[in-house]
Amino acid sequence: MRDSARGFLGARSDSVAVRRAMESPEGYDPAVWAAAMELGWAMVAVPEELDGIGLGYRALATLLFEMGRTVFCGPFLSTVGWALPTLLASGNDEVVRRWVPELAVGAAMATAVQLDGHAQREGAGFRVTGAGRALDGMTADLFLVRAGDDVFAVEAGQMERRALRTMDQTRRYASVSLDCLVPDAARLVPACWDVGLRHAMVALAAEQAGGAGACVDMASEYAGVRRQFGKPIGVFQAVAHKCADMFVLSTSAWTAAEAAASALDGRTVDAHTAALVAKTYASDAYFVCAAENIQVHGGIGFTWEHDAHLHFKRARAGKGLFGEPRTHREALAATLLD
Amino acid sequence: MKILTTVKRVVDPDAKVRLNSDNSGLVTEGLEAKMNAFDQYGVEEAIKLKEAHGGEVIVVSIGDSAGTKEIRTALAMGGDRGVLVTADMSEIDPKGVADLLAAVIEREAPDIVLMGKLSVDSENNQVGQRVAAKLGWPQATFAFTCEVADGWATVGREVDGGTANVRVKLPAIVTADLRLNEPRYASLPGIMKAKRKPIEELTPDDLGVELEPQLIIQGYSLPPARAAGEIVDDVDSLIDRLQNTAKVL
Repeated sequence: MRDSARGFLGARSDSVAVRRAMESPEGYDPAVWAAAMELGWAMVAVPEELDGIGLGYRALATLLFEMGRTVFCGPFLSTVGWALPTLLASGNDEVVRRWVPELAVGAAMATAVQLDGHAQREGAGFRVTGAGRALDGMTADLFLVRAGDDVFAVEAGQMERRALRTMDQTRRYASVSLDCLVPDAARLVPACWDVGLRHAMVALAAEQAGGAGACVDMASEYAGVRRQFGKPIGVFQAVAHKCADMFVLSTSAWTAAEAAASALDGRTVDAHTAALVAKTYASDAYFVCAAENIQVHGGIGFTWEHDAHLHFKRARAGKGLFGEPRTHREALAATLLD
Repeated sequence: MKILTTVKRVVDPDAKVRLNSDNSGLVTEGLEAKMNAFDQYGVEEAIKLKEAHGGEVIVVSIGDSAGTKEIRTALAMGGDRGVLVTADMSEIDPKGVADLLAAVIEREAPDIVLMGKLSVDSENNQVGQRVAAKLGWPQATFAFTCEVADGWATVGREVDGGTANVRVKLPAIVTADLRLNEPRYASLPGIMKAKRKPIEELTPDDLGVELEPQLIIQGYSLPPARAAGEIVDDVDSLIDRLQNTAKVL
């Protein structure tokens, strides 16, 4: 599976393809997205009874790792990493059967968004009011909306949305707002929000571990061919130690992400702690590797033409996605010490 | 339509291989292995033929048990079942490979055999031709197009300076060149199904083949290291170097 994913992404999500996607209005190439969906990537963790493959989150983490390596552009993290596990934990069979099969084959896209607002009972439903910033909000067909403590499934037509400019052009956001009556049938169990967020953190950690690994490969390869004072720069300790530290960070990040994904699959008990560790460690590791990759490359690493900045911007943006590492460290400390 | 295709496990062409201490062979331990690139085109064409005409695709490989990985990859792409002939590839020459494949082909009796035109590790470019000769079947090598109808295959071949179109009566051997198609990537449902598809393991004895190498590699050597270039001051110096050092004038 890893070989197939790496082959596909190497051919269809290389630097040229990523830069083309960055410049497109959608932020991704629909043809590449469709091809990835034909390979069954969105259904990897969907249970077989819902027309998925049921391989679990460990397998999904492998795909995300490879996507992170190539800075894959597309609403995969939002749809498959976040919205799908939220839906699967939603306790709402009607919504699950309406949306999961479509999401699993890439016929629809989804995201989740925390609104700064509230939901109030009104007749046979809830009036949901609020605004927020939604990952891949412009391309989503379905929004899983949290307002106060309540969570709802809301179709895109009911949302007001506006594309936002982002520093990381490989990942898009939209400013969204909502003021409408949502029927009871679209209400999800509130606990699904935390479950979905936990899965999303692990998915992002796997992607970040892949990105960190790509930075290590780029840096070590360059250190082996760039010569200074008659030798490859990699033989100088200042560079060699930098590369070695990056390698330790990137492989440890994958270890944490893989362990957390296995925990989500039920192979270990404490998925919550594992998810916090993975997100915290992988976010920091990717950011350090992306920054050090630029340092190893010297001047060329600072140019627009070189791919180092793609990883750097994604790493910085990813640190804040689903919560900053320091926030998670505090939560982790509370979990472990209280 | 019964289609047989072959896959070989080779060292990743992008990996850096080294000679062993006595230059008698290559050090391949620890290097990643992949399906021979030309075989991927053969597998893809086999699957396309099955999709167009129905039938089954049998994937055959020769080597140790690690070769099942390449067979599984081909099964994940769309093959139906596999056959692995277990043998030590370091002791088999192209004739031996052809003898084993011919024995499997006689056993399976396919309508067409699709193979890579050569393997990227040894680059002998002999097996397809040898199999055809041994079976007495027609062959169309270096295919960049392949169409099957009415018991014949029409094959476009890449030849020096242009292309040639040939028709071969089936059953026939067709060897694939790299412009034949674009090999598909294994889908996740395909990978899952491939786990349950059967792979039969055979030995040369099972096939009644006695391996007697007729080609023995005596040793390897690296190309001579290139001397550093030299910048000369003027045309006279250049002519002098060409005449007296390089001795090309």
